Amino acid sequence: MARLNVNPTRMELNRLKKRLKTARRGHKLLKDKRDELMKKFITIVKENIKLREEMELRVTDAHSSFVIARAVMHTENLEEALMFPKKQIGLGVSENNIMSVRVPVFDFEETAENDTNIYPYGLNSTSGELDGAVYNLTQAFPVLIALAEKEKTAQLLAREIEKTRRRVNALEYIMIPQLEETIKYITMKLDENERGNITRLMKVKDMMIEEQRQKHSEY
Amino acid sequence: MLPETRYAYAVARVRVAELNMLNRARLERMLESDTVDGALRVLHEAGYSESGDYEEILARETAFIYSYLREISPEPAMFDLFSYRYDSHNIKVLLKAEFSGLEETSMLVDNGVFDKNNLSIMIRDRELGKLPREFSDAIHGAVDAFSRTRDPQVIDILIDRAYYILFSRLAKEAGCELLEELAAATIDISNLNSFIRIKGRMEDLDLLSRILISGGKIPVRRYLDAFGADIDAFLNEVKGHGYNTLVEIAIENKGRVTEFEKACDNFIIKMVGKFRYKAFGIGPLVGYMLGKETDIKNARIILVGKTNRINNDIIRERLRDSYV
Repeated sequence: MARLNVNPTRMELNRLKKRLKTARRGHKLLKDKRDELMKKFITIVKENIKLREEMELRVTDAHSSFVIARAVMHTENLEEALMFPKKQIGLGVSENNIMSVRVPVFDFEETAENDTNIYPYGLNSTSGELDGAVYNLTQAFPVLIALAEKEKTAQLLAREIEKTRRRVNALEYIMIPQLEETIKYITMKLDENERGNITRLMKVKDMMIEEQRQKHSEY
Repeated sequence: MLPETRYAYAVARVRVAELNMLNRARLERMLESDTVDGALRVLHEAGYSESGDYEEILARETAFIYSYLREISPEPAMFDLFSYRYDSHNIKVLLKAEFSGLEETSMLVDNGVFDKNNLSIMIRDRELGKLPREFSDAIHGAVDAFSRTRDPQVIDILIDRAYYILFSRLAKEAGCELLEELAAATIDISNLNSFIRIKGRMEDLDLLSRILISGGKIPVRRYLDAFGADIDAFLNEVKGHGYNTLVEIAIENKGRVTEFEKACDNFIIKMVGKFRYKAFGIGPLVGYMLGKETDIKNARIILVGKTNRINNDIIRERLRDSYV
């Protein structure tokens, strides 16, 4: 493992030790965050699968009934029947915070005076098959919106999980070992210096004693 | 109306043209072909044009029916009764486009009594003097009702009603028994259909009362009185008016519209079919026209079905009886 390119000084050592402490704390926190995000993600994905299956079923129903309606009606009649919608739909977007990931929340509002009469066309020039198609699509719409919300949430969470996992891994496999390695290197270097110093002192002491001894013998 | 013998030439022409109609065998061949092209080939053999996609081919054929009948008929104006349906469609499109600010040109159709561009100008400038009074009253009514309710459905309801009433009036004025009978039957069928659809899904008495059209054999009052009661009881009650087969199918299918709508179309075809072998009169011409429209409907059902790979059984279930 490569160590950092730093001067092996005591000041640097203290600095690196501090950094290592922070990195370890960060690593633990990020790991916790990742685990929690995963938990949330799995719940959302489960809901997502359920919604998607429901949506596919409803949209397929709506689509096939539209095809049938289109088969028994003139194209122009069908287009005329649907050209001016009766229902107004409001879609509000707000934000929710999941582990500091900002996910969208869709508020779906329908404004229809009469819930049973959602059909914007008269009955004389349209086929009853179209009623079924419009009804199926109306039923599919809230599911579609809910699915859009969940799917976007899942996407954003997945991105965040990916990011967090990369950070955790970077800390765990690169940053922390690197710091440890460098700290070890500096400690060893300092110890080595210390030992060198002691040896030098001892040598100097010996030399001085030798010098003293020679002076004494001259006198 | 002219003496019926004046129609001898036209009837003879129609008799020849009937040979090219889509009979059961041709429809079966279309149904059994694997691709849209295979089905279109059968149409080409029956004299339909060959260029363009199937919507264009069917639109051309519709235009052809009207021009052909007007050309051979001693009283071309009699077909205006049927052409007004296309005007009513155009009026609805123009009004809805005006209220919603949408572009309408692609949805306008030809074959109306009034040219679609002229009609567009007439509606825009509210110069409705040339339109039949049923239409002009309905347009004023629709503009007024829409400004109060903002509900696009009122436009369709009022204009459709105007068309049926206009048809009924013109049939009476022409003094033609067949057309009068046809007008009454169309109104009754439309009312029965609306009743079943509203009972089945919308449950809205107010809508029913606005949508029912008077002029049929079954009085409007009967539908309204029966709204709260069981649908089968009502259907049994109206059997006596000559719609036994229709009513039985409606009861059998528990208000499912697919079979009922098919039965309605078959009923009309059977009704005009009675006049098919007459040597004189407008009957065979009207029969040919409605028969051709049914052909086009059947062709569309098969072609849309083939394009979307719908199971043949589902297509067959919806095919109308052919005239020939």
